[in-house]
Amino acid sequence: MSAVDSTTSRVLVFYCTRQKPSDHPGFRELVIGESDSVEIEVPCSGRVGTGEIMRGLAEGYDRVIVLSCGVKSCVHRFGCPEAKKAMEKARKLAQTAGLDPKRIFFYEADNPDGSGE
Amino acid sequence: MPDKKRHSLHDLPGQCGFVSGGLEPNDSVCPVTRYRPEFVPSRLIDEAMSGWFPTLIRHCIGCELCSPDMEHSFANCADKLLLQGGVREDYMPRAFSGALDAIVSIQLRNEGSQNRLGWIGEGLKIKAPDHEGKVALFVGNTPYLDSLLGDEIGYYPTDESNAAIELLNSVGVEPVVLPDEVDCGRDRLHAGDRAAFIALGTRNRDLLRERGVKTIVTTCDDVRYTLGTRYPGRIPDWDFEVVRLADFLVSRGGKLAFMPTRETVAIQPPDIYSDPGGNDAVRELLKRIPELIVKTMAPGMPSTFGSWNQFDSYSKLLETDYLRAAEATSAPTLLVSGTTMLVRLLEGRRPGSWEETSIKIKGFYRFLSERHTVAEEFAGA
Amino acid sequence: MTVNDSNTLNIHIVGRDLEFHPVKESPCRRACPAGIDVKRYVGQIAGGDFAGALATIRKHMPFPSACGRICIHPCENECARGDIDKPIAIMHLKRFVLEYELRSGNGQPLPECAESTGKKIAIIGSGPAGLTAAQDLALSGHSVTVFEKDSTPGGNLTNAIPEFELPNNSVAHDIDRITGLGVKIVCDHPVDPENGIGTLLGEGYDCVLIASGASNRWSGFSGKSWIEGGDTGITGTLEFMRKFSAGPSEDEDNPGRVVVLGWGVQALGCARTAVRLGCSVKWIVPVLKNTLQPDPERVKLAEEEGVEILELTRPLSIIKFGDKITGINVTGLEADEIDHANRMSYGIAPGTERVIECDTIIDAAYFSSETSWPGFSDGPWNAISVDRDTMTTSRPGIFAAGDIVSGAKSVVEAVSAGHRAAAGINRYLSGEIADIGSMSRPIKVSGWELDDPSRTPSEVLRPKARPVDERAKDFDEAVESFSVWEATHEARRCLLCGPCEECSVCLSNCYRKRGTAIDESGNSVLIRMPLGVARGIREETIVGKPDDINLFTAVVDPERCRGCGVCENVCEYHAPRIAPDSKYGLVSSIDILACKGCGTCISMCPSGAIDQGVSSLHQVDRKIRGGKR
Repeated sequence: MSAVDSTTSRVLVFYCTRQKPSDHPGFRELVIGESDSVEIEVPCSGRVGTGEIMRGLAEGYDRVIVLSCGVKSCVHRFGCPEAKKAMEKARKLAQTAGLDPKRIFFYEADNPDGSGE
Repeated sequence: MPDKKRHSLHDLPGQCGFVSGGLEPNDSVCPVTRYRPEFVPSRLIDEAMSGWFPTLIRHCIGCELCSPDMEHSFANCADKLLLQGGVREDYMPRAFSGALDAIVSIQLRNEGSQNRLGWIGEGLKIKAPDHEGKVALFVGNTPYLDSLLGDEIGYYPTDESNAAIELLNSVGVEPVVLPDEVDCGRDRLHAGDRAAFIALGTRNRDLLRERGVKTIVTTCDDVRYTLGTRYPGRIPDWDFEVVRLADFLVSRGGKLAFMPTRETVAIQPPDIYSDPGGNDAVRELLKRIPELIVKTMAPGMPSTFGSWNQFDSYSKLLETDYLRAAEATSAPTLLVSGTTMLVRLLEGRRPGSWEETSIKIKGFYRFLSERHTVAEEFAGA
Repeated sequence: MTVNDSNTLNIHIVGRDLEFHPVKESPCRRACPAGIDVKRYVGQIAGGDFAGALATIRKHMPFPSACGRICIHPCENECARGDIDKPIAIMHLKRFVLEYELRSGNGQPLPECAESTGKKIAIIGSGPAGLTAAQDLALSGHSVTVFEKDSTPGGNLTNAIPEFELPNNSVAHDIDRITGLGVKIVCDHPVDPENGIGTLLGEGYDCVLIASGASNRWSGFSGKSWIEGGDTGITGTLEFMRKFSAGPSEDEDNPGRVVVLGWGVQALGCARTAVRLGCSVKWIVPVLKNTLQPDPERVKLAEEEGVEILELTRPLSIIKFGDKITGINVTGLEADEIDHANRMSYGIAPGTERVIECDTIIDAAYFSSETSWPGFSDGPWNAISVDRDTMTTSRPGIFAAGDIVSGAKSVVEAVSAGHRAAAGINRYLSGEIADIGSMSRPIKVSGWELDDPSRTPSEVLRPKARPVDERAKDFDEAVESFSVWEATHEARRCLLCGPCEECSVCLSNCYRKRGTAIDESGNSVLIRMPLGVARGIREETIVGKPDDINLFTAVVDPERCRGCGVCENVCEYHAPRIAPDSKYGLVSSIDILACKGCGTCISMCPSGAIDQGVSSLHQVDRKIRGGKR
């Protein structure tokens, strides 16, 4: 698959309403970089399912990122864990479809070092 | 008589009230009318003839129960109308939040090779990637359904595809299984996305030709329907034979033998592809299993529940009635010979859901493969 | 469908295809006659937003000074925390945020009044009912003049409540905010009951509101004096408090041995005032001590200060020597029977009559209006009858509210009456026909889901009273206010009852702050969506403006739902429920009051049957596609 070209790539970001990208200084530099981004606010990362992620890839985004509170800090308790499961499923589908599963990125606000796992 | 000059519809089906008639909606032949009384095929044809696009046509599930003549069936007309109508402005694929549709879009973008053969079991034989073969097994979206649904419903649809390869191997066939097979296009056809439907069909055609395929075998009735009746005339130079696996096994599997099994199973009635006498390949194969008791469900049950765009409450009502009809035979197990139907029925009975019926559901081809034997005393029984 | 105010929505009507549910408020809010958003301000205090909390209080309560000290606090009576240990100290928290503002010197800006309507309103009486109505009417853009017969405004707040319970300068601060809106208060200006209203109308006032109160002593119980031998010489509450509420009188008059009659907050105030004057005080009450109207904490303070409470005791007759009162004949009471409302009634206990020597008897048992309003007063104690929803009298354009209508009630009830009167006047002036159904009626709700109490602090805090040997001798405030730590700690004990977290997340997500719905008459009504609460409104059933609908909660389309139960299994709020439906088989439906709008069920639904307005399927789809379709 084509390598991510940060000068022309497009990134789709779903962010939980409690975790605006502007609240995370490292987020933009490390994760979005120079890419053009489309940012969609959702009430909780649980709103982002396998379908939303896959549609992002189908639409041609080079990366689909979910910016979430974190499994421990999710106000809705089950939202972030379900979002992570949806991400795992989307990665399997992406792999089967011949896409690099690392194009799907999960950024946890309370575990930024472990993000992307 | 229909005005042929106004439309390109040919030989519209008769409007005798046969399909949607009856005293009660439940009496109607059309399974859609049973749950949507407003869905009256003859009225829809009238509207089409008057120049209106009958939006209700989208509810047609393509079961073909309405007509013995597939080419001139209402379902075929419906598909023609759908393709003419185009994609609705507010259309959005909803099944699995659009994940399946997204996979089709990714396939259309053709960004690279798929990794879709990991499900093939050890010991099973398929043609190597650079080898030609006359027979191809078309598996459809089952590798994706494994990831999407498998863990949740406790069933991986590629199991039926594995069983298919086993059975093909047992009759001496090593099928071609395309590593880059794309979606058959049924959902896109139903959505009116003509361009995508043509693109998918054309891709499949080219991939199959590259491998020298002449006959396409499938476990899925929806694939058979799409590749067998909807591709011809729409996908240029589509000249493959499309056969249900059961029919293929009967035609090629003279010595196909099975172990005795003291079970009772239910199967759906013969469908439109069957011999009007009531025998069909499914029954034929089951007859070869000694001691097996086969019960046929009441007539009027379809062999498809429609596309994934029709994955809704009406479909669920139909699926539940299907299972009730199977339970009414008093058989403890229902064999389902169409993979997509099987997935839909199992999805409706996923763990944690209300179980309105309790009959066990099993894939027909896995049932056969579990009982298949090479023991000579059973050969040709 | 009815609208209470811009922030509350009580919906009673089920439309054709619409399903509205009554607002399930938290029990504290539901109990508050003034409709204060109690849970919200307690939550704001817990979060350290003291200014926000005071703003929330002021939305419905123009007298936080009074309500934070002497309120009957029905909210605390309903507080679910009381089932575990003690209710949240809601009243004291209110006082805390007001004092925090006063200490910090950062007064909140006054709200802006609407554009002038050119209408003039006259209000008779500057008590809590009259001034609340004045505030609301001034905010609506009318010109308001309040006529007060006394030399200072405030009514009972400044005249009848002792300084150590409610400092006058604190009340003055609240009144200043009302006059700051342009309300004129003319003191020393009694209105002649005979022709005063006619005069006001002749001077160009479009409406008159009578809020003259009922703080006079009333002896006419059951049509005759309730104490044998007449009531000459008995002192009324107002008479007593006018002289002594701020301390000893200038003429050094001393009441001597005092007996106080009555069982409410005014009687308590008189008793505690008399103690501070050095008097011996006996408080005669016909009920058990623990059933007195004032809350037990204040009764306990009174006893500590030296008030002797004679419970289950009833006065019979006065004993005089010449004109001077020398004693009061009383009898004991005993339990008689339990009435239909499960209340105990008491009868005279034989052989318990006795004389209590005293010099002054203060009667704080029954109250009447000082003034009878000819043509309006038709009740036994000069009460005025009104339509309870619009507060209009028998004459169009003349309204009445407060104690003059209801009899002596608490401050919060008077404030509630003031709000209703202002709403009634606004409707009258705008020409709308008053509609009974258009006023909100709280709906009784039972059963709450409570937050896990182990996650809240367990220590119950109450403000400290000053040492009794100090406070019983002066008229400074007897009880201190909470400290910042104490207030936030106490507020964090709140169990957050009711389904809505009132976290305002939905508001910050809302693309429109309005919604359209239809009532049973088929009229399209524009409503404001309430804070933190959403409605399960189906877009396709709305007449007029589907884009205006604000949906935060999840909604199931039964045509798409397969009843698979995925939503039910994932949601820990138990909002989705699967149940049989006669048309669609098994389908899910969402309890919109349990749903927090996280959207997880939406992303997990295999058939795409669930949706929400914010981050709807179509919205997200359009955004993913970059607005191409």
